[in-house]
Amino acid sequence: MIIDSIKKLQNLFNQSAEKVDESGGVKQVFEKPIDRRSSLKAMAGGFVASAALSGAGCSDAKWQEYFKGNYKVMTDEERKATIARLSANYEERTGHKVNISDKKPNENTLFGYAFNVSKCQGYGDCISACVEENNQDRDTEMQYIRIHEMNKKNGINFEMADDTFTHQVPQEGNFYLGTQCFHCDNPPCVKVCPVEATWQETDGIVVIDYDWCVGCRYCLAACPYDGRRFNWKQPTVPEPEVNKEQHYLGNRLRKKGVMEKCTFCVQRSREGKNPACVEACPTGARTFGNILDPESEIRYILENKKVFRLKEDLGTEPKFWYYMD
Amino acid sequence: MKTWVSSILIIVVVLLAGSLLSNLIMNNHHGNHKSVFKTIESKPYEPDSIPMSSVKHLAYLDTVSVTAEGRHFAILNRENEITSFKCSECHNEPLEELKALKPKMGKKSHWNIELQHANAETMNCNTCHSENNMDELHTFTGARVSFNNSYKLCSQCHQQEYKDWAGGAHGKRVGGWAKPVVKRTCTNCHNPHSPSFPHKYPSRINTRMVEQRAKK
Repeated sequence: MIIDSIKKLQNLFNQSAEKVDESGGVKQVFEKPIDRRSSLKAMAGGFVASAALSGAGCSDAKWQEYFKGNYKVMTDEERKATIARLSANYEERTGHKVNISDKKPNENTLFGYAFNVSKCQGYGDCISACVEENNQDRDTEMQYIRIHEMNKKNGINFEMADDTFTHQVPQEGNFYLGTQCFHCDNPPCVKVCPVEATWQETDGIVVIDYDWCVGCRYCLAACPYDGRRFNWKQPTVPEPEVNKEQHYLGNRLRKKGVMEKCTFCVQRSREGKNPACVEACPTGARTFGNILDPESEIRYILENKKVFRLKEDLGTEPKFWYYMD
Repeated sequence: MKTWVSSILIIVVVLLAGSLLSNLIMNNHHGNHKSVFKTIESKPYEPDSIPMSSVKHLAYLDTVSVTAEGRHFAILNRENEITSFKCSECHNEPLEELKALKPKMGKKSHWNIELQHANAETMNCNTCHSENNMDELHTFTGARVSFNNSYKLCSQCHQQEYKDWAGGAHGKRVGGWAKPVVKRTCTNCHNPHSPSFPHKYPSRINTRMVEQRAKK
């Protein structure tokens, strides 16, 4: 019964697709004329859906993309298929190719990050590199990283800190402390997600399936570290600036109404590279590595420096440590 | 008598139950999640089990192997980066003789180098450069050090930085986090003649956030 009605709907979509003017090209999946929630409503409402979708050319691939599952539980073939659809869609829209990876976590790896508060000078090269690497929305100036300028008299006090400074840095009497997603080992954002669109991978990276996220922003509220960002509008990146080396769970282009955040540059870190912020930092304040490897730099820091984490009492176990010289 | 004993028993039981209950509540409050350090300890690391390598990100790099603080790694080749190395191509006679020629030769060759490193009582050119062999540097005790291994000179004073650099808490990696380890050496980030970092404007300013702040 239900299958029949879905087939009927599909036929309706295909028919309407033939009728509509295709001059606008196949609208990108990231800018669906209707989203998942309203589509369900539309299905419940019967043939209303055909009217809602009449603006979009609705091919079979689009239908499959639309009703795909959660990336977390997809088989390898399903993952390959969705990536093929997304890449084809992007090429159809822009004429350029993207390389979307589905690389899985490496074995025996748990990523950790260390931030040297004494070294950070507030230059903000990390923020710039992050925005460019991760295709963040240029209009709303979305940034995963914040650099907080703090007065040495006040110590680490976020209420008295300034993360919008525009003057020359470093300024006398101030120190600089960067925050981003801490990839907690016990992440509160993952617990609250009602649709399991965000989860922790075995290498410790907390990821989001942008296509499964319903945009409820529970995770944004649950995160004690201001680590998550929401797309209030359709994010845009000028085509020449789009980073084409992407990961499904990382920097592929997002759409309106979904969450995103730092992924430790999953598209880079799983290839052995450092995240863009670490590579860009001119002062060496940022260290990244495998905390299971006793010879790694990050382990040296954990074992030899006086490290601390933010809000440790919450039991979130962030894998992001601060230290001083 | 009996009521006295039983009342004490009741108090003990209540106290025990209370402490158990509060334990349970505390556990729930923190979630029964184990510390990430316990995760590290519980996973013995097998070096060969990681196929991850940063070799492909290090292609075409000119490196030199070093051992510092018992750790083996590579640093970037410095000598090949210095313009007009070897220095002896110009400095083919002792410095004193060159200085005597100065009035005849006009403009100084290294006019743009101004030493802003410690003070004049502590350091001058000769602290690192050898007067008689400009192709190499020398330590306080006169041991010869190549330009590639200039970190050995820095470590004479900056011991803690040196240890942290060898370990990984100071400085920067090249290529990525995976092995093999290639690091930047001291002079890749610090100008040895003026090692402190400059003041400058932040590279990206978030105009939206600045606007929001102005409205407050």
